[in-house]
Amino acid sequence: MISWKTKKQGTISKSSSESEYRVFASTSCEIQWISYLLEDLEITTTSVANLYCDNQPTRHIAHNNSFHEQTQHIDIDHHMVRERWQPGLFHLLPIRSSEQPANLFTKALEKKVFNKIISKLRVSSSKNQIKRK
Amino acid sequence: MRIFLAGNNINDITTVNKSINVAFYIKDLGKFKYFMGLEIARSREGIHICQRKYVLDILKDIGMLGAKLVATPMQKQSDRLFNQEDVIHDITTYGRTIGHLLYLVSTQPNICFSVLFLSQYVHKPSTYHHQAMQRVLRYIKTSLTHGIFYPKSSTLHLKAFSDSDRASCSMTRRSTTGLCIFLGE
Repeated sequence: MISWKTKKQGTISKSSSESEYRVFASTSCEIQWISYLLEDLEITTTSVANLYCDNQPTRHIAHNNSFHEQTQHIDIDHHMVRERWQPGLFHLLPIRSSEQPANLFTKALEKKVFNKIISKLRVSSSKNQIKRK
Repeated sequence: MRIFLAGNNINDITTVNKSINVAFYIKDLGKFKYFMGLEIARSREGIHICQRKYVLDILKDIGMLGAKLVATPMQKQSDRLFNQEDVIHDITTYGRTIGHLLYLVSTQPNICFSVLFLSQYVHKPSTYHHQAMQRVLRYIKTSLTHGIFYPKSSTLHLKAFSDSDRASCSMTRRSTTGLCIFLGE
C-alpha cells in the first residue's frame, strides 16, 4: 500500500452517490499524481490502474455523459473524473461493499471486518508476513 | 545532516556516495535501519516498516504502558462524540498525543480513521474524546509491531479503492472521504 487518506468533506452531500463521487474525484487526482511520479522515476506499470468503487450509481454517473437533475451540482467533480478516465488513465471496476478495503478509512468497524481488511492491506508484524509465505 | 540514497543498483549508489565524498566530508552509516522513529527491517521477502519504539515512547509519555489491550481502535461512533459539552481542561496533553498519533499513521493506516476523527476536536475535546483517545492508545499497544510490508515479488499495477460515509458527522452532516491506493499486491 502506498497511499491512503481520510478526510471530512468540505460540503454537505444530498445523496450517498454524491459523496462517493467526490471521493472518486479525489482518488482520480491521486492516481494521476502517482502515475506522474512513477513516470518521473522511470517506472512502467504493467497495466492500466484499476479504480474500485462499491457504489453502482456512482459508476453509472462516471460512464454516462448526460446529467441527471440531481447530479447537476457535482459537474466539476464529474468533469474531473471524466478528464482522467476517458484517456484511459484507469479502469472503473465494481467491488462488493464487504470487500472494500477503503471502508477502514471512512468509519469505525467491528473486530471481524476490521481484521479482515487489515490482513488485506498487509499491515501486520514482520513475523506474520514471513509466515504467510 | 543525513542523506538517504535509494536505488535498485548497488554500484550506482556507491558511485554517488563516492562523488559526494569528494566534495564533502561524509560518514557512511550503512544500511537504512532506523530513522525518526521508523524501523526498517529487510528480508528476502521484502521490506517491513514499523514504529515499535515510537509507540512505546507515546505510551510511556502518557503513562499507559500497563494499559489493557483492545482489538479495534474505535467503537462504533455514538452521537455523544459529536457533542461539544463536558470539555476537558487538559487540552495540551490531548493535543500532544494526537500529534504523536498522527505521525504514527504513516506506518499504521489501521488507526488512520480514528486519529483523523479525534484530531478534529483538538481545540475542544470532551471527556468522551479523551476516552476514545485512550482506546486508540490501548489499541496501538496491541498492534505494537504492526507496520507496512512491501513484498519484493510484486507486480507493478496500481489499484485504487474509494469509499465514502455519507453524513457521518452528526453535527454538520458532512461526509467522510476514504481512499487507499496499492502498487502491486
